[in-house]
Amino acid sequence: MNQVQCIFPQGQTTPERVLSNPWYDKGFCEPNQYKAAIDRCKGGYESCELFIEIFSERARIEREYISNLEKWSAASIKEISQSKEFGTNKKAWIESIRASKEIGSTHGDIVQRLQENVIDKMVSYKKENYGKSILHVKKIKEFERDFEQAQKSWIKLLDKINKSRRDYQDAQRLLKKAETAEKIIESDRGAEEEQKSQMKLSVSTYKKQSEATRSKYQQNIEDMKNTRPNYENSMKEVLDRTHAFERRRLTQFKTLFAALHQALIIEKDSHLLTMTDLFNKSAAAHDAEKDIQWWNSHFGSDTNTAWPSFEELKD
Amino acid sequence: MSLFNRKYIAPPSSPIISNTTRIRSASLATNSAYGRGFFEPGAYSIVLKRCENGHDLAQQLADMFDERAQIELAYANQLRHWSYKWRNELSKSQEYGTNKKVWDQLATTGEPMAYVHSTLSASLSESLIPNLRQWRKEHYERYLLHYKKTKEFERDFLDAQKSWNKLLDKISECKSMYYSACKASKLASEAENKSIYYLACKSTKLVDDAESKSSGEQRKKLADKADVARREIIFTRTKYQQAINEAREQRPNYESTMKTIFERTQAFEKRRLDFFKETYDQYAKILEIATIDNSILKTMNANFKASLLVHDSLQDLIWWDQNYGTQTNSRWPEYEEYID
Repeated sequence: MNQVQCIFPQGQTTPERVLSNPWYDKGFCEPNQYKAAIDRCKGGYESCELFIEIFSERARIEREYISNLEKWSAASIKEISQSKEFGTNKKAWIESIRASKEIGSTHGDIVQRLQENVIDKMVSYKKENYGKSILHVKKIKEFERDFEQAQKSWIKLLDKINKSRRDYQDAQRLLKKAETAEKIIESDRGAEEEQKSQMKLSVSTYKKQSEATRSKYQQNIEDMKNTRPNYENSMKEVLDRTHAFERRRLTQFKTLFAALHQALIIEKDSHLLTMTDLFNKSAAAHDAEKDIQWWNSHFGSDTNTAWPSFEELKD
Repeated sequence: MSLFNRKYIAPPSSPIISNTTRIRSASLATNSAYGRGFFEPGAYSIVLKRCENGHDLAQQLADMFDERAQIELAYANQLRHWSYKWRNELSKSQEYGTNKKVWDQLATTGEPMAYVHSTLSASLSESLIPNLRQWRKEHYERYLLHYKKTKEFERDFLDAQKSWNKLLDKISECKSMYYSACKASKLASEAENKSIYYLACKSTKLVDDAESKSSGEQRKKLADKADVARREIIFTRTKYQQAINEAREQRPNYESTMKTIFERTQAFEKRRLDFFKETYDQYAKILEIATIDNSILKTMNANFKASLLVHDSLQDLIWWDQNYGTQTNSRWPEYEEYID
């Protein structure tokens, strides 16, 4: 049997189309078609890796954002503290920055949930289910071996059938040839008796052979028919195990998608409530009038001015 | 309190300053007007400084918001890129069925969040900051090296203080004249007293050469001198007193003039403080819109939920089985008769 080079199915969202998929349109029980199942397992493994990669990068982006916000907050607050601003205005300015920093904390929560409930879970799932041994994933190798095992005797049987078919058909061909030759010789007046009888002999030999090969062929077919249920069952059994394996994977993905959802949603995030609270408090504390008064009493018209008074000479 | 025209500024000791609030203004420590009363000459300079600071502070505020806008924009862009990149990867992958579909939709959640943050950034860059810059431009028009407004205030202050300074100088002058008159008178009195003493000594025959030291003429001269000096004291004292009185009379006028100008600077500053407050409020609003009750995020949440419902492992498995599994039509070997 020639090995078929499998070109991976072109990725599209459901439904997948046929395109150049060599696994398509062939029956599962046909030789080597189980490889589609193996490929699915491998695909599953790669999907896990892809999942981890994608969301790790997302986490990285979030972390960068958070760190930038924190740096900005710290630097800004420092600058303002050292600036020429004064009074409640200064305080409100600083508090505004503190409040807006809460968004950083919100994203910190997002990252934490993402890391713990999504990424880490996938990493451990992958480790558990796709444990590696040097070059390959153990589980997948297992499936592959089991399929091969189930198909081994079947393939031998198919080979036998093919061979016996060829033998039979060759025999038939030879028979037909001989029969034709016999007819010719029979009708040939100039032919000798020797030839005729030899021809008759070869015809009967071929006939016998043909009979023999035919019955062998038919026998093989019968054997096949008898073995078939068994074979189908063994193949199905292995396939069902791959189905279960895949089902588990799909379920895990669904669970993690839900966890991802929870990770990203900030509707009820407490930090945002804190932010609003801080903003409100700082706005309430801002008092331009108070600042003006304070400044006035330190530098303005409320300061104690020394007014000229009569100063007697002191000794 | 010592003389008006102090050259050395004593460290803060007056009760007003010791009651400073917790809010520390770093500029207090280096403030040269600190410890001086507002009406004292040149003390208004701190008011001008405050006006100028307002410009710098507005600048600082704008810069700060600008940086924030940049951070948000960078984040938004990274999210967009992430969405785009991984959806691409996903489409080329082995994934299939509803699992793939749902996954693809989840990868798009980068989009709404990116949108929210780029909107936030835009609100800052295109609305809040230009507002701030515009306000600053309007209130701090430049004129050569200074701000028009501060130049105006300075001019007005100088004007108000001009005649007052002259008065202070006059007082200072009168005072020093009075003091020198006092000193001179003291010396003259001492000289006179000395000569009287010698005269007395002469009469008691205690000191011989005291005779040579004093004569009636000299004594008279000294007495006259002392007299003149005493009269001088009275004269300069009166003058000094008058100057002080004049100052006392002028004071209310001077005070109110200075105060009027000062009130204008106060109003100018108040405008700035009010504007800053407005800006803080706007900033708060922008952030709140981006995060709380945000309609984009709400939609994202709803879409998310809907996607999850679409996920159907069973359907995916069945589909696979129909296409690659046991439900596929296998060709089974059959007896094939020989055909000529």
